[in-house]
Amino acid sequence: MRSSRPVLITLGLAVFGLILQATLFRRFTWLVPDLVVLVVILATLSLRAEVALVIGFLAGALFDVSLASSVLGLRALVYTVVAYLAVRTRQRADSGPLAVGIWAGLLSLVSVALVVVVGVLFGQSAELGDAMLRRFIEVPITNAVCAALLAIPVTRLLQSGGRRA
Amino acid sequence: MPTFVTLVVAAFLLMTVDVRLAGGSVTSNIRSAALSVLAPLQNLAAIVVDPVADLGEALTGLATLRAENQALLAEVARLQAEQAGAQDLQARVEVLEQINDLEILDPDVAQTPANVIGRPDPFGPTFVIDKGTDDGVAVGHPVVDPNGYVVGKVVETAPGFAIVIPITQDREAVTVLVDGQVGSLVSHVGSDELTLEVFDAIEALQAGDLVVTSSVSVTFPQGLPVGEVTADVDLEGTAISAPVRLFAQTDTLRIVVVITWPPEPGTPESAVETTTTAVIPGTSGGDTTTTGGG
Repeated sequence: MRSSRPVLITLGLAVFGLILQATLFRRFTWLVPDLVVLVVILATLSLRAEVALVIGFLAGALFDVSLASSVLGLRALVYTVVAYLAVRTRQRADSGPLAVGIWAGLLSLVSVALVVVVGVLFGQSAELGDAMLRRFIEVPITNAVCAALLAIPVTRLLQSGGRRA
Repeated sequence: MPTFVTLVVAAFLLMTVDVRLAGGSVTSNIRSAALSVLAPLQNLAAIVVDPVADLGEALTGLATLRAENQALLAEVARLQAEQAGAQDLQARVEVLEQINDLEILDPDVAQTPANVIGRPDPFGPTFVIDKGTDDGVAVGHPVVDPNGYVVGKVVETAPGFAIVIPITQDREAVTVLVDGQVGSLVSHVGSDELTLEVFDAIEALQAGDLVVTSSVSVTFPQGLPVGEVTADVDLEGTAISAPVRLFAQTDTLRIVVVITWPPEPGTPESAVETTTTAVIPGTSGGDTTTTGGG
């Protein structure tokens, strides 16, 4: 039977990221990561493809229910797609922290774009607000930097969780 | 691949159900349950994070403190002069209220101060407060900032927590009073600007005209300051459309006050609302909805 510990650790990290984003990073308007999608992206480096997709769906659904203004399932869909793209391209992130940063930044950009496009299709016109351009620039850049810094610790944490179990 | 397709289909189903039910009881219960789990953790994190963030902000602001101090001293002097004038105005307002038998906000109306403990999406409109149904907070209750300026209303509640949406992002317009004329304050979702629409206008509006909630508003008690008109606007037939700046700084709020409104039937406040509603002529009797859904 396969270990469920890395899955639980990843979901724990997603909840931690969501809480950190809602508390610490709301105080810094110049530092706006999307930590939940970052956890999803980094988790694909250690988890099996199917598990990573489920993690993407659950983490996105978690984010959706914490936002009263968002349609339920929007981020579940987007993070599942991002997890799929991450799984398909994860070999490109093998060459070091810089590569991981660029890879995660690009996937975060895809995530932001999908949230806007699918959100608008489902009546979330708030996604087209004044902050849309900032969202397109700041989230990918911040996520790229965070990914470069966090990729190794997160990967080790998930792999050690798998071994211990 | 089958897993991917299954999850994408599941997500689309979730979205469709949520949109079709338009925030029905099922999705509302799910959100409420999630909020009950997440909000205590957010509250705990806020207790740890806020002092650290305050310290960080204070350290980064040291260089500008001297200039800021001088500016504040000048501001204090100016405000003291203004206060003297305001006291005179307040006395006149009290006399006028007595004459017209009006009450701006009954002091007996329950007001619940709450801390803003989270904003899950930094670009999103909603924020979480640390008071909920256990404290008497209910969906639809108006929310103001510590100065009494209108912020928004409660859209989701859990036993110890609630989610608030600012009026700048709310699809429901607010019925307001400006310069003796009743109008609707319409938001542009995704933007912080508001537009005042007056359809039975009798005179032009000037920049700086005060916008307050009207007695015919269902969502807000009358007389709460909302914002000010930011440009001179002339009459177009009998209609006026004017830009309005919100007084409350919804992005940087740390503390808000939730007002128990409408008051429970049978209380003196409900009698006040009923009485004053009949006084304002030419109104339809409630907040208007500009777009469906939401």
